[in-house]
Amino acid sequence: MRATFAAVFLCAAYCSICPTVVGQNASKPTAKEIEFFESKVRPLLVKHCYECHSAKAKEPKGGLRVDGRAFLLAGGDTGPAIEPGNQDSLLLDAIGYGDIYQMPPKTKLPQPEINVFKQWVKMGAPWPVEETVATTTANNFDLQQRASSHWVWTGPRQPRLPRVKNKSWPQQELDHFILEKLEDHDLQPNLQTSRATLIRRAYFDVIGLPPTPAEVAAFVENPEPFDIAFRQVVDQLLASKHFGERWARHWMDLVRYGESYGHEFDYTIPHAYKYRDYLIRAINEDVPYDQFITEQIAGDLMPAPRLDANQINQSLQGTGFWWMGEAVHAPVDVLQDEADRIDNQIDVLGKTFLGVTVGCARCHDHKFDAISTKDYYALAGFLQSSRRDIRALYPAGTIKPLVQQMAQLQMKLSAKVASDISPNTVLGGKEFSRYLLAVREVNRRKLQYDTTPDEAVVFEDFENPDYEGWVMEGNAFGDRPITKETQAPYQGEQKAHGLGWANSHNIRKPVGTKTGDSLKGRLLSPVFKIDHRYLHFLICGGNHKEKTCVNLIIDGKQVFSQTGFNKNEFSPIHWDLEPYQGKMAQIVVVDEQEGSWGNIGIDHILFSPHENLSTKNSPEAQTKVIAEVAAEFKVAADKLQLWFSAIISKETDPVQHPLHIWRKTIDVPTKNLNGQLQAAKKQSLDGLQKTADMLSNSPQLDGFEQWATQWYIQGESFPIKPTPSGTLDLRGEVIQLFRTGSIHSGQLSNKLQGSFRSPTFELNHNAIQMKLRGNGVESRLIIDGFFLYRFNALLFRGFSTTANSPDASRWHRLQGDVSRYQGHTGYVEFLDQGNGSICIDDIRFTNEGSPPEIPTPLLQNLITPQLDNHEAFALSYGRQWETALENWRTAQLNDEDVDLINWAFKHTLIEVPEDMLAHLSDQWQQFRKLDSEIPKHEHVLVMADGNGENEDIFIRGNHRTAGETAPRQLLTAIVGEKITQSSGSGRLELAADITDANNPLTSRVMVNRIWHHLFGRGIVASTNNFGVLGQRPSHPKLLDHLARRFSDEHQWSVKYMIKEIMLSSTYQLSSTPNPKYLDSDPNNFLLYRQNIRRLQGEAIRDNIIAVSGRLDKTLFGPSMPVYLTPFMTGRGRPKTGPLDGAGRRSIYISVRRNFIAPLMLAFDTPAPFNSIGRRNVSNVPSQALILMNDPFVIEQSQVWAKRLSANDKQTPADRIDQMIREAFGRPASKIELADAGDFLEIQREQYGIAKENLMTDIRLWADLGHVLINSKSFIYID
Amino acid sequence: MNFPRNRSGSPLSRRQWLQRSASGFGTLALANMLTNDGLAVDEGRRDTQKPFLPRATHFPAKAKHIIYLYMDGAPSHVDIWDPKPRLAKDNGKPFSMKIEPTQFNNIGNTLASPWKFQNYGESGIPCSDLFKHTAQHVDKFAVIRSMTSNFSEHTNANYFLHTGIGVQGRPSMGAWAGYGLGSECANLPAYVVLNGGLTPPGGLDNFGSGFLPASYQGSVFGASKEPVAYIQRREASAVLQENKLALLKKMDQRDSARLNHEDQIESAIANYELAYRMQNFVPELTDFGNESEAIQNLYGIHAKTKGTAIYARQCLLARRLVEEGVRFIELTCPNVSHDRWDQHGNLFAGHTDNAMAVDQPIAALITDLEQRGLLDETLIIWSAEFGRTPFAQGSNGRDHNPFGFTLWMCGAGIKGGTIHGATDEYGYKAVENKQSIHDLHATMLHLMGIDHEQLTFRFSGRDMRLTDVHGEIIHDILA
Repeated sequence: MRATFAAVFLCAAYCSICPTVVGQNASKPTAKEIEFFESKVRPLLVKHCYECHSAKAKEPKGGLRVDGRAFLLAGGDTGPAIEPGNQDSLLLDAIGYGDIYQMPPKTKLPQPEINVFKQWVKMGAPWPVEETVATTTANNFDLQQRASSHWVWTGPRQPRLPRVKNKSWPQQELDHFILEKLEDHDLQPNLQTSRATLIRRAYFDVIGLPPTPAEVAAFVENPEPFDIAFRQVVDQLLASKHFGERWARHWMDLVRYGESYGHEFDYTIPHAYKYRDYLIRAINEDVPYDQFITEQIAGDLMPAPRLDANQINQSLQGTGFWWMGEAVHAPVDVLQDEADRIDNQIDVLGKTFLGVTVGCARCHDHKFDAISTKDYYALAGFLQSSRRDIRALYPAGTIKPLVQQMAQLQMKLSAKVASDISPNTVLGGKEFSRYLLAVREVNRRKLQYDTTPDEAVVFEDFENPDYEGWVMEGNAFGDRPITKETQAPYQGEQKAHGLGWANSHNIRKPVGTKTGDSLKGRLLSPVFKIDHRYLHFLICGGNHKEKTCVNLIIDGKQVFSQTGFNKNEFSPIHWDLEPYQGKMAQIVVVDEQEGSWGNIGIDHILFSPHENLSTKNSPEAQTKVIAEVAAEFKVAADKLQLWFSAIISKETDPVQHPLHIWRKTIDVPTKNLNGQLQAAKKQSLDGLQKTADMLSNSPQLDGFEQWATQWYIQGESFPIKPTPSGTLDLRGEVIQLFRTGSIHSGQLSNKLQGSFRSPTFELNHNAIQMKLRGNGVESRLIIDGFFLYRFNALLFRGFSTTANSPDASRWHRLQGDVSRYQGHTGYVEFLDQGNGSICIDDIRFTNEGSPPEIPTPLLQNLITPQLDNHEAFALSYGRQWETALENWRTAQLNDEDVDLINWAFKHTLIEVPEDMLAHLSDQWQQFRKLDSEIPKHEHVLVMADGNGENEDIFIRGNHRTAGETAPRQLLTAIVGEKITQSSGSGRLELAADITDANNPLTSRVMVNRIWHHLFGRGIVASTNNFGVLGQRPSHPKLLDHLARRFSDEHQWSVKYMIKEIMLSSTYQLSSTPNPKYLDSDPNNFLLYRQNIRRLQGEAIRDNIIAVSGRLDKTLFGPSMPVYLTPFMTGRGRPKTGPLDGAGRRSIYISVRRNFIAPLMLAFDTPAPFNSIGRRNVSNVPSQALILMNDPFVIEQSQVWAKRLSANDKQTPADRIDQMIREAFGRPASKIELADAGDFLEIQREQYGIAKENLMTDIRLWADLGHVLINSKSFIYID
Repeated sequence: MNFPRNRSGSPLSRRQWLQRSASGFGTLALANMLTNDGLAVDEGRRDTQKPFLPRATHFPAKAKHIIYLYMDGAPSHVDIWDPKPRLAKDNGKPFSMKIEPTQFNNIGNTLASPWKFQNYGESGIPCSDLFKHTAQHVDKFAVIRSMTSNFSEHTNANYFLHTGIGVQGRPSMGAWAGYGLGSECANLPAYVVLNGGLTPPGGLDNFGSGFLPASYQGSVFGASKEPVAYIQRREASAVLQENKLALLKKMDQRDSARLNHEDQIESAIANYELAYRMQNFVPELTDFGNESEAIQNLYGIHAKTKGTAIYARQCLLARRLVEEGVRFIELTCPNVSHDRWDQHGNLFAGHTDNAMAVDQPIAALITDLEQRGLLDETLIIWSAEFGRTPFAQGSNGRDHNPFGFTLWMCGAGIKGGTIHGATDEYGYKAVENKQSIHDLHATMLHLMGIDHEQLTFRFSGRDMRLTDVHGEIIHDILA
């Protein structure tokens, strides 16, 4: 069951139940009540409702009648219209223009009339007793009856071969079926066509390209008998790589293949072309059709997927078709959007694989076919339970063992290290505390050192909360200096001095509505007297001369100007003021630039006698201090240096850091120490308490300690269980541990990719908060399957976050618009696409804010009530260190232990014993080697499973009115009651049922498609609709014969099926209409001849570039952008491609829904919105105009002419003949030679070309080529 | 080479046609025969080879042509045709009705209209100062103030408005008109889109033929030198192209003869003749040299305000297309640098500039058609895909509002001076005589002599209609 969020009116039964006797009131109404009803209520019902909701109506709308109390009580499709006494009754909601219905539809009733109804319902809906024999409106849909009365739901059975009179005519069994009908109607089949015509027909039918004159000649002159010679041609063609290109395009029509989502902005569908390439490969390999279907429906679930030579999973890629539909970027009703998306998927599924229009049963039982609404929603469940996924594909045989090996090595190594490491082997607690105290001493002496008077004089450090003394012009610099808190986070670490600095990059509000670099302004310092040699300052920002710069003005003249370096980080600058001593000066910071790098920043302005500022803080001085202290504290001097930097680094800034409190209290006087520590401890405790309170109000989706929920893992990067204690992070150079009981996508390697998805949940809170650490991995919420908001977060703000905290776990939130989707269902997903890693600790639903950032819980252990000196405090740390090591050994590491240990190892504060190190680095090396062997991958757009959910029937197709649940299964008319048992989507079972030999549709539908492509019309002409409204088969027995041959004899081999048909007498018939049959069979329904067929748009274009010689036969790869004409306008207009598509076949030209190539559209290439089994063959002037005037066609004529002009030994007649052979696959006739010759002459004169240049001036031959391309022989096959 | 230009079109005689055509008597004979055999005739299709044969209407038509003035981006009805004093009263206060989900979900306070309204004509229909020119014609208008749409997002709503279904890939109303009526014009297709520069969200699919044959798709006339795609010959001179076409014709006719004049080959040959006529005709059509200065000034061909001259050209061209017999002409808006009529912010400037661009040309078009006696056979519709909210988006904008908006119709068969339907006191939702887009389509087809329930095309196992399974004719506005 899925939840619905609108007011839900549960339906007693799906079909409306109708009473036989009306008017059985529980208590008899009073006369007064009856009078009220008769005088007030009934007239309103008659006036406003009866037209649609009474016996008067042909079919009461929504199944509701209001001309009887019992009708109202029983209600319509969406349940009871009134519940006596209940003011929430549906009828009242509807006349109040509620969410589901607004009645009467045209005009809302005036309030007094609405009040009448309210009052009446309140009274208990009194109605006089009246006997009415109800005319039943019960649903009379009888699925079994439907199924037994239409031919397609039974069979196919192998029919007996018909007897024919002309026994010599059939070459294949199938010919008997054709000939039988012809003989029945006294029609003679045409003669077999000529070899030249046949080979051209065969080439276009099989590979979609014309035969070269040499290929035609080889067949025409082949001494073998016709049938043997032609068999050779067919075999060659079916083995050609181009076969897949031709037939993949047919399939792409069925699955509405597109590379963009259409709609307003036509966003790109990622990796779409991989599916196209999959099709070409699968068709070329002749993957059996039943498997081909299974791969597309459930390739992600196949236990033994098909791998290609590079061990890449091919089957999986078949599922790409599900996602080729159009999509909307900001649906106001996201549930409707989901219903529409699934509807499109079901429509494609039904038509493509089954040849029936299941989509018609979305709102009501199928009007004609044996398909119920329940059948529709039973299919919807399969899709409801499936998810969109982008997968990184690795060679299957390589990656699995590799990952396994890495994991094993990691486990082994982790166990070894855990058992080897102890206070004795690495670092004891006492020593740990000695180092802490030594660091304190270094710091103390350094502080002293730093307090000696400096010769430098600070002029401005922007540490104050305002620009005191400075003058602002414009508003670029705001009204105060920038700090870390107010800087633009995307500018990163700017390396300013101290806490504040000046910067004109603006994200402050409400300083100006414009943000970023759009503001301009200047910042002017107080005027000062120059009495130092050097002026030093830090600068950042844009490199625009005179526009973004710091200037020094002396006596009103600008003497120095320095721009930024297009860097956000500050860089030191100094100016030598020697010549200006004693003069008055002013610093002016200028931002006169808008747009990119239109900002400037300045900080740490000081005067000094020295050119180099760091003379006093020399490394030598530091080393000396450290050496002294190390000796005094009996610690190693080199280690102490590391300890010092590790503690005094920015890393210990966050309060969560285990050493933060040590650093913070390092120079606190002893008498104040206890006070500060207790305060910190209390703060930590309060914070813990507050966090615990907040979390207790925020139900956990998962904390990854117990692994309570079923998560969905795809790809290689997410482990299948939470990280065990002591797992080593082997990605770096030093020993690091993973946190225990979280999920880490980088557990083995940052290179691996994958996705991690929660089960589906119902959202009942404002926000989702997730404790994460990591970077580069997107975490997002998918509500009702809606995935497109990454382009444009309109209506879906806050659905996605990318954690950017590699070192600390922080609460990240999905919030903002999330709160609008309460009551909807969804799941969270983490997508590791190889840009980093994510560690997931905890995921919760919440109505609270984020828990505060609190001091590490370690403080509770570290700080005892009496702790009043640094020595004791350091010892406390030492004990904690030993505890952490012990927890490591006993596999009980908690997050604080891990933080402490990681910090120590990260800064190499720990001396790992030599022998241990040797073993470790050897194994580590091995691990890295495995990591380096991780093969290259490619991305594909595919389907993945979620948890199995059954969909509810949406009454009248309205997602706001849920009815009975429809368990997942294939159409009842095919499988009866056969409910899917899978805990996942069940698509694999669905595919098995579709490809089951007893399915009456699958084989028939496919052989009919093949027939359609080889004859221009299917045996069932409506190739996508075998239902009652589709067309009846012209040759039903033939269809069944072929279907059985296909599934039984040929084991679903499409190539064998094509070959069998092409080797038939029927296929090889001449296509010339017989005037005698104009009356008896003008449309050639009985196939006394082949059909004359116009080439499809793709084939026309391919034909042009093949004949011109421009064709690039490369297979596969990203699509070529369409060449855009000025008429192709609108949002999402892509970059234009080359006029000739770089010579690639049309299947490789991009299919962007809103920008489809005009030549394709003109020649009926379908816009990909729906499954198309049979294209239109229209006849519009734009076809002629394109072939006459499209620069592409003109250009190709020239390419062709140029190629021919290389041969200077030809006579004009030779060349004309060659061109006609190339264009039409046959020699030129005498009269054609003459006509073309005349034409060349006329054009030559018109151009004024000298006679002797006839053969070399390509204009003439391009003109002739242009005519040939326009001729009917070129774009039709006969 | 001499392709005749005429309005009746066919190069074949009626007799030849029947002899050669697949839709001749022979088909009927076989269809009967095959039906008995369990074989149906082809799925609901018209003859795709001769798509524009004029067809009989279901009943006498009032309108021979439709000019659809599509206001891309949705003008605010409460600022133009549907004055609401209550907005001024509540200006700046929180909106007091329940607010449905909106596109941008940035709900501001109730926002009074910044424009003054006046009553015009004998009917006294009010209009704001935005459409002072157009408003002079109100006595010819039926103003429907109770329009609704099913979508509050441009693209869905555009598809819905144009095709009757809110998804991509369905036939546009203009395509249905061509499919239903055929064409009286030998030189042009039945459905022409005059693109002023703004392609509506959803793209050219708004004008597509969907599952109908490609013949019925809208032909887009651009504002560039080459008004129709591929209309311009590439040869240096006409004679160079004519020589080519002469050779082509010879070759094609021989092919056709070899194939016993098979129907689709014959039709494709004839198709070249229409293409050639179009190629010569379109430049003539778009050359306004023979229009008087007075007419040009009436439309505003030389106007300086942004967009006006472009829209004036479109309107004038629309009149000329009506004269040529084109069935359905749609005008899209010119770009006046405000992202169409879609004023989520900057309402005053945006609406002012948009109105300035179209107001005078629209008024001129009505005047001009009337003077020429063409208004009686031409239906003009002014509408957007939805309206705008009476409450603000942010402080100076309005969001999308599909629950109630205004359109007007004028010309053939329309009862002038009519106001039909009403929104609530704020102009938020239609509450009286609520009309749907399906009703609009049903009424349009009705005026063209077509029963919207009878005009069907078999696709996807259904007899598809422009009005799906809905639509009621709005009789109250009919003369």
